[in-house]
Amino acid sequence: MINLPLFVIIPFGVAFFIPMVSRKIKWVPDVLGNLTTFILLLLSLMTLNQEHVYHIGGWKPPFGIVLVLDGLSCLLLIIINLISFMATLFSIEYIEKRFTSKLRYYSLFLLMVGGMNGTVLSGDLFNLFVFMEIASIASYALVGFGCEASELEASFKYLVMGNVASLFVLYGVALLYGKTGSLNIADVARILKEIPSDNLVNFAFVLLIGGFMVKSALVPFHAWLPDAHPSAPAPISAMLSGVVIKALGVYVICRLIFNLFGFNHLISQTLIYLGVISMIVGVCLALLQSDLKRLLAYHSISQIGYVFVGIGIGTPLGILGGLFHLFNHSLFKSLLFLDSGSIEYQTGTRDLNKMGLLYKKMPITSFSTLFASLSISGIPPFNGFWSKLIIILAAIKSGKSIIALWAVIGSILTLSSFTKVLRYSIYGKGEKWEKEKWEKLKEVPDTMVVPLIILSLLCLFTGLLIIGGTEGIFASTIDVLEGSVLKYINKVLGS
Amino acid sequence: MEKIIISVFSIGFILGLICRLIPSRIKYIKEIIGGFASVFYLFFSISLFKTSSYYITEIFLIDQFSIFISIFISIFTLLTLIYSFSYFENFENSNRYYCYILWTLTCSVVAVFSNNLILFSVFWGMLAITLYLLLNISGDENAYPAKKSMIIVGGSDSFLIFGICGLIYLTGKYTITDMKIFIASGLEIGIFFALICASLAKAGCMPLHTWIPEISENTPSPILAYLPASLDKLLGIYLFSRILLNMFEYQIDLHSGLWFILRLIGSITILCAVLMAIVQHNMKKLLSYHAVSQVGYMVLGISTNLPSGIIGGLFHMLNNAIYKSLLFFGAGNVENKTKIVELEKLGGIGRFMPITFFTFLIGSLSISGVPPFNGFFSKYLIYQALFQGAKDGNFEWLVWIICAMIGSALTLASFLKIVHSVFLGHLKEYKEKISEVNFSMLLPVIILSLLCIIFGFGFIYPVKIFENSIGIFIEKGYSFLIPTLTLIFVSLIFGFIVFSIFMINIKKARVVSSFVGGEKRLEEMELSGVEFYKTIEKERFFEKMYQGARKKIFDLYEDFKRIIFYFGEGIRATHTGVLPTYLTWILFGCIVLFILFMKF
Repeated sequence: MINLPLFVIIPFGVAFFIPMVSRKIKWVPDVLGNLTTFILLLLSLMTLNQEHVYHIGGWKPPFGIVLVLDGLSCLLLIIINLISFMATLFSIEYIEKRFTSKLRYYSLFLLMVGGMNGTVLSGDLFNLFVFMEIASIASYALVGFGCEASELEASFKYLVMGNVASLFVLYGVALLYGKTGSLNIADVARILKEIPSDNLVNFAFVLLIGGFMVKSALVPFHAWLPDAHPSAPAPISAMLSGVVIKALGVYVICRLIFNLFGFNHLISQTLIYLGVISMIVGVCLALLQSDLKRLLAYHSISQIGYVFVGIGIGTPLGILGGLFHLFNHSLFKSLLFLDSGSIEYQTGTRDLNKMGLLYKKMPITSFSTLFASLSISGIPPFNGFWSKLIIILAAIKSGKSIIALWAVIGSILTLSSFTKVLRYSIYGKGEKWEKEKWEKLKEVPDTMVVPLIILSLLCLFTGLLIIGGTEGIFASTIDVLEGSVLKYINKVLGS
Repeated sequence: MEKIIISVFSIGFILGLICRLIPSRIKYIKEIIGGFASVFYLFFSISLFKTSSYYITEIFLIDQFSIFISIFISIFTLLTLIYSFSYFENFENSNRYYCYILWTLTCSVVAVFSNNLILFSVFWGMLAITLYLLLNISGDENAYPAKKSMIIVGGSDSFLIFGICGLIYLTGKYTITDMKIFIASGLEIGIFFALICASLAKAGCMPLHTWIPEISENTPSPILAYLPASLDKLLGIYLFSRILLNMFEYQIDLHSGLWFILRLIGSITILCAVLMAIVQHNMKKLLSYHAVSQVGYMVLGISTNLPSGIIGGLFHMLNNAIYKSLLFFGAGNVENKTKIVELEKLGGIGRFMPITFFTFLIGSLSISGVPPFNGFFSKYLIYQALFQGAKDGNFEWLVWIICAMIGSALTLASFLKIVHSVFLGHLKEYKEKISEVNFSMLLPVIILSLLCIIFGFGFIYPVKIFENSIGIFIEKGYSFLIPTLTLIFVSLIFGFIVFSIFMINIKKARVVSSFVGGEKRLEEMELSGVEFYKTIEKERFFEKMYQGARKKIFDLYEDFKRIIFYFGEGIRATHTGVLPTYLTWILFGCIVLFILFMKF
């Protein structure tokens, strides 16, 4: 059995250890950072198909703090630590060339990872809030890491909006605590089941959900994302789009809705409609962009819409589709941001009009961009196809064929947007393309290429995870969400 | 059996991958691998056909129909590869080319052989990728057309997914052969059209045709002959016929409206595409519009829902693939020697490229529906169905007949134009001396023109195969055509003998330039084939239409693009970058949630 606190202790420990030891020796932050994320990846893979409730200090809930590992947290742990390992690997050369102060970078990075690990493992609301804040504050700093005016502005906006969200959450937690006298999620759920629901609880619900919707960047709570994600260094953008919005946003919303407040028709409708709006608005905005990273950021809004539609449908198939899309999105979106990082690393630009004919000079970056673009557009046999297929199937099966049609339209628009990216950057050339610059281009260094290849292959083959459908590898995850609130209460508190 | 099929399919993928890994500068290995793979698939399909080993499981659907289609997919691949041997001799991306061709072959065969809807959609979708990659290998000027094709073809695949999910929901099954849906509700109509949309986009029927003319200008001829001309027609119409014949049930009182829409689409496609073709100045673009126009006949034929129409439509699909790839290959030969595709700048090369000329002529006559070539017989069957429908004096069917007839006439007219401008007339000046192309580029056109003749005189055999494979038989029969055919055959032989004797006698004739009343022949006296057709553009009604077409207002892709951009600009205008505005949105969102979830 894995010691769950390790997921928090290791990154936090190393985060403070790096600045202490590595002021003189240059290679220490790289080695320590990568080693940590690699160990965390291994640990997270070991949690597969395990369920465990860890009582810190041996104190039983509701009085002690608990860490809960179940199918959903396991899925998120794997996503967080896989992508963070890829991002740190990519960072070795990328940060070296473009930024200074690697030790601060790795410290903040590991704080963010530790915060997210804590968020997805935490079994009580207040710890969840604290971990979320740690991860958020680290990410505010990382967004502004380049210290240029636009980056600081983006970071400031992110900080303000993020803090508004955090305050909503804190207020919501406080209200729930005042009402129930407990902070343990399972215990709060138990008490809420016993007392008649009133507007105070509903208000707390609105505040919590609103706050976390800001974190997950659903329209109309999305405005911070298109500024924040492109401004960060590429590996951080990959983390933000690939992981942070899911661990701090989607995951918590799922946990609260399915395991605390209980799922109902109204919630389902709200999630679906907000999902559809995000899906379409995000992609329409993306179509107009010529800044590659900004375009990708808008697609994150759109793809999160798919995840919410899937989860909002609420049937096992819908949840499977939503969660699988969440997993797939983390792979292809982080790959796309890393690709944009490699392109920026070599060409020095994010403007699609200045790029061109990269397939001749940067073959691996080009092929991974192609793979990721086909994945996000839902073209078979890549993973995005399978999750979209399941979401559409689930929507039709639950009698929501109009929603399915919107998903189809969103998918076509996504394809349009990514064929545009491929047209300007890889196969064709933009209007401001310069031949002299292009001739000097070459493929990025090996440590940056490796994560691109790994993620591309994952995009190609993770479609196979769907074998078995709702009874397959995702069964335990679906079980967490599909099962009633009671099931979670029993698991954490013991029946 | 299942293992054999799966291993056969894996071979195609692996051989494609091997081709991709061999550097372009190493010659002959890729060509040999490609040839081997297509011959292998051909023999595999023929062996299935010969042994009549039909095999229908939950995953595979190997019946006479799918085997017959797969035989032709393999034949077209083989011919394209033979043609490419010389055409792409020093091509820098030849490794990618061979890889994508083999993957296309494999995906097409798997798609045709799959009975499982999900399997089908996966391989069907992968064909969009290979199409996109194939279009992109010819250089950066093709990047935009490739993008457009990917959006239209790949986007329509999303509708296919919708349709397939709908079928699974309605029947609870995953196999094509288990579908027999009776259209009664709105959802069923939606599913029907979603599937139709996917098949028509692939085949290139209006209004989803615009990718074909767009790619035709910069794409090498073998790719044009392979994908939009032959394979995509076979696959698109294969799916179309499976949808109409296998997946949905037709009842005349309830569904005539839906089928009417299909017939309308078919007729409009025939007429509008041929009108566009006739005014083109680019040889390849002209052919590509015909590739669109001919789909109209297939759609019209199959959607008559009468035996001779269905068989005629399917037969036309096959014939079109044959003569259209023949024509594209012929155009490729001309382009290869002259490096020119504009009709005004071409002329008089028939004498130097006799085999290309002769085979191109056969292709032109076939597509125009001149007996005794294959195009005539398929069109004949379609007309039979249309006349049968019009028997009750139904006005609707008369319109279809008129559309089809005008379409045929204009096809002939536009092929007169192309044959005249390219092969006949005065010899223009070219950079290099014009001579006949290599044998490897001639062999495919010879084989295809022979097929045009064989499927003309021996039309009964393919028709019988289609009849048996889909289990629909033409009641009236077509045996009365046989005496006529014999007569034609005999008179052709007789004519040929007379012609040969005549040719022997005029061997010593001298060749002089045209006599123009003793005047010196000047450039401006020449009338290229293009000039004659310019008058059509100036007709009052057509003028508006052509202006609209030039502005791309009939292009669904462009229309949607405008709408989406308009919508997108509207949303973008609200993203001012001002923090308080964004905070207001958050507040607004919370208020909406508040109103929704609070109980007052």
